[in-house]
Amino acid sequence: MAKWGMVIDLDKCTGCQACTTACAMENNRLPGENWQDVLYYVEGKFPNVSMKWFPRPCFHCENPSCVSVCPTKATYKDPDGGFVLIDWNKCIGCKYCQVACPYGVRFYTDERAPIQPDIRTVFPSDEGRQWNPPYKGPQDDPSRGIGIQPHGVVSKCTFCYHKVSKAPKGVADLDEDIPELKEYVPGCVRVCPPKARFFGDLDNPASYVNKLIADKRGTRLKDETGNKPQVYYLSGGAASAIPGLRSMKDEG
Amino acid sequence: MMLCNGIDIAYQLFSVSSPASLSATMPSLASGQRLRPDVDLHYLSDACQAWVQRVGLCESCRRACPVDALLWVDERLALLPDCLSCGRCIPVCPMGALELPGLVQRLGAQEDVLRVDCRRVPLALRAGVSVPCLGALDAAALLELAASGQPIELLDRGWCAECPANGGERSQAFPAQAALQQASDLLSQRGWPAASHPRRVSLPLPLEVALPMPSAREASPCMTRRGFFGRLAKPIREVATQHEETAPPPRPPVAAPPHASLARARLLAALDALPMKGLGDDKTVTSPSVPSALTVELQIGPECRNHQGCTKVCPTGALQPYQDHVDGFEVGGVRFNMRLCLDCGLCLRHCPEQSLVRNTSDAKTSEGWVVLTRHVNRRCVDCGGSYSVAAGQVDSGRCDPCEKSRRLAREMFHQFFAAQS
Repeated sequence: MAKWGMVIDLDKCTGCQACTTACAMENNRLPGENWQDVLYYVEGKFPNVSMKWFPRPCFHCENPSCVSVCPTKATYKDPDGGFVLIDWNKCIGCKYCQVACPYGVRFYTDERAPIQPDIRTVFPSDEGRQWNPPYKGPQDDPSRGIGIQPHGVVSKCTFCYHKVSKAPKGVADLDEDIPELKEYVPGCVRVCPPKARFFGDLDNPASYVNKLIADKRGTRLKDETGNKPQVYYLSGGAASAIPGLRSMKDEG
Repeated sequence: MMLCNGIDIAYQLFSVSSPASLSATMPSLASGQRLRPDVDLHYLSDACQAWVQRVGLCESCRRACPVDALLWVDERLALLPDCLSCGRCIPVCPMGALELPGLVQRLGAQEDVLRVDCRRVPLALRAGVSVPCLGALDAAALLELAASGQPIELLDRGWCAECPANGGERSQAFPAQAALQQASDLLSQRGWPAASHPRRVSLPLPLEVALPMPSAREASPCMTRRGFFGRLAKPIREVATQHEETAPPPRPPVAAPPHASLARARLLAALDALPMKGLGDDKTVTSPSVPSALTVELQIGPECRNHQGCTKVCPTGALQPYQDHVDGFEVGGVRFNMRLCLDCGLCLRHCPEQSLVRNTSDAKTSEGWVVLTRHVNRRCVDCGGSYSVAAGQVDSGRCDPCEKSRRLAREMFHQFFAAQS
């Protein structure tokens, strides 16, 4: 019984969006509807401007608010692995989870496509899916929200359930540098060029992710909501060493 | 015959009473399919599943079945050959998903009194109208019969207590009593004098003359030796082949559109067809209206953010989204048809803003599609998607998800970087 978690080191992240691209390819996402993206944020006035970026996957919370609001119990917490998944056979697309999620990582793609022209009309699907992409991943499990999204349902990051769930039992960390484990590593972690992402078992005291969280003061986002995300951010505050930033005033 | 009427009525309801300016999304009403080839009971699986998916397994029909012939297998309804085709499951279904063609049979000449009889009565003694079991009649069916203007008598043959269609813990002294009471109440509100209401008439017959209830199990041929061993081996064969071939991935179901509740639509339509009686000439009631016991009035408060969740959780499509153009603006929102509402309360519970209110006051109820909310659609400056703003709400220029992402990024910035400077 692992509890998978992710650690993202903001000091290493270059905001290159390789994770976003990998996720889009792995999970057949529609353009612009990525389960994983990098948020950019700009604050300050010239010349004291600072831009920061934050990769944002689904946090697979320990106590997810999306699960408690779902009227049809379509979204659920998998007790084996701690994934938060959606059963597309049960989802009615009411989007209550989208409203309830404090992190905004749920996607309902039946509305106007953010990127035009609409690729759904270029590769239409005849089996009730959003589209029929020219390249498709082999995995398809609607009861866990894996595969090409059907119409009228909400989708979200699965922590690459189709890969991680096949990992050998008892393994502490899924590291792309270990050859025998690399096939089980989530797409975004595997491709990260500066190796800013780490994936491992939070319940295993010997795992490297636990060590990172302890050594570098791993922080969970919006802890006041009580959702207890399983994704931790590391920040040594490298940005604060830049003098321009220290003089910046909050004008938010 | 009656139940087919229900479908027609629901169609009319959608095509006639929706204003032309509102683009109507018609709920599709597929015709029913038999649950078993040897039993006449038809099942509208889409209507049933719309309820099961949203409310959960409701068990009404299963509990109403006197011989426990209905059961749920993997959230699908299944029928055992024990079915007596008595129709007791039909009136209890909230969605009207079960139907029995030829439930009400009329034969013989028209009489001045419409007598409804049990089909176990031998043909020679049977009254003009017959049903498999009087318990298969609901108030809507009684009102449909009453619309002819003839007095209605349900014949109590005195054997209901011993009848297998009235078996087990669900047995009642007279199975149509509840429907009679409801029909009587509704007719009183229409001004029908008590003497013209459908009533129960005791006309006992000895149990010996009763015809047996037909059962598919008795009709089916007994199992052959080959069939017996074939059935034994089948599960083994399935298990053995499971490992060899990997099953193709299950196709995700297309989310079914909400379905009209035939049961309630039928009852209200039957009520509409009844003429008003005994009101004299000074009554103010000019057009028949829905009695207060059956009205539901919903209101949506100013908190509404047009998430449209209520239209998705509604199992009957009583709440629907609409799109319209007003003065060059794209407007949209939620509209409501009281005739389709089952008063299940799902929309009240599952509104993220808690903005739906069920109005219990005796205000004048509105017929047809009532527009509950009107939002102006805008384009989000970040994602280009459409989002809506109600009157009196602050417009940030962004849709809710984009606004949420922005707030999150600002929060992260201050948590990780700005606070240290």
